Amino acid sequence: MARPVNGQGGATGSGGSEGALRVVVVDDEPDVRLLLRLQLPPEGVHIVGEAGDGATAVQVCQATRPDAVVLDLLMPIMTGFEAIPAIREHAPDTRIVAYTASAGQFVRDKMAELDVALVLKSGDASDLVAALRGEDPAEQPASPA
Amino acid sequence: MGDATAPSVEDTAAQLDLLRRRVLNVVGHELRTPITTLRGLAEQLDRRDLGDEAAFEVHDAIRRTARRVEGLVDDLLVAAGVSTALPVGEPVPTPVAGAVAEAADRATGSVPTIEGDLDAVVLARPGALRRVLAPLLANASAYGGGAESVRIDMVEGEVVVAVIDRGPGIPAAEVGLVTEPFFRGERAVMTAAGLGLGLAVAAAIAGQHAATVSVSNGDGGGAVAEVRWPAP
Repeated sequence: MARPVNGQGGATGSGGSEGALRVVVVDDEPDVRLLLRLQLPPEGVHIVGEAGDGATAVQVCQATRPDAVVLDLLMPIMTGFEAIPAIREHAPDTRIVAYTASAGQFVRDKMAELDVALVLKSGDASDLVAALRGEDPAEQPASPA
Repeated sequence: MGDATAPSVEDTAAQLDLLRRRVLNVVGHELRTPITTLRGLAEQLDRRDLGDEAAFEVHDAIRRTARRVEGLVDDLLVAAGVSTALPVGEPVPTPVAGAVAEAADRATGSVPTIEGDLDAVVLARPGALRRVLAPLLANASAYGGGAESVRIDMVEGEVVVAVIDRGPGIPAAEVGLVTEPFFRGERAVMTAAGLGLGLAVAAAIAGQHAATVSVSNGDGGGAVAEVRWPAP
């Protein structure tokens, strides 16, 4: 299923260039996806697909086999938690980075158990880019009180 | 002698502390996404290479996201019983079908089939009926596979607006809780962000107009959210 860049899901072609990191962006908030479409290409990231829910994310990852996926966790139809094993099954070489507004102990423990990098949403994409490249493990924020 | 079944002061304090942390956690999470998005979008406007089309898109997203923050704060105030965030002005004749269409468009970006008494009118403060209906339609979209239809009927001196969704319905144990502030169903917590205030706010604004909001499971499966508003 291919849809335009602004669609809920599908293959896209934002910021393509030789040697760029090929990434799929998954978030149910269209404006978060818009922001990532603007933030990531100047950092050498080629967005090869987008999805607004976990089920579409699995399909897009299977179709595009990206280097990495930015994955929101709370999403309709299929959550990010549920999508992680399915993405690993269909695109085993794809690095998954969980990207969420805040993370309680359950989320931190779950991501550690699944060996998934966790990055808190920020207006600055540098931590996210580092995690997508796997150059530097995403900094684990201090545990909540 | 004290009541042996009454909770101790320590238990009550611990429960209040847990509640405080849960509320702050939910509020923090819900505000953090739009605020970080706003910051990131605003910084994009500083880029020299941002074309006109992208700049327009960013401006539009900033307006949309700021409206969302405004709505979240209003919802928090209404749910906390702060009357300053309730709709103001005198009740005016408000076409119900028009309010349904406007609420659906704002909440979900599309308008479901509206059936029944399409000429029904109620007395409502400006924007009030839309604010009552919007969370019902947003919930149908987020958890119920979308609103199958919205039905407007006149029943025993009340205008009844029923939002019928395509989802699995609400677990029996949760039916009576869904209008409680900060309540979120077991599945809802995992599948969508949210404060758990939508129906509580809808009920508060409805109450300002002697109207009511309720949610039940329909005969054909799916949830039915109903607003009953006194006919003028």
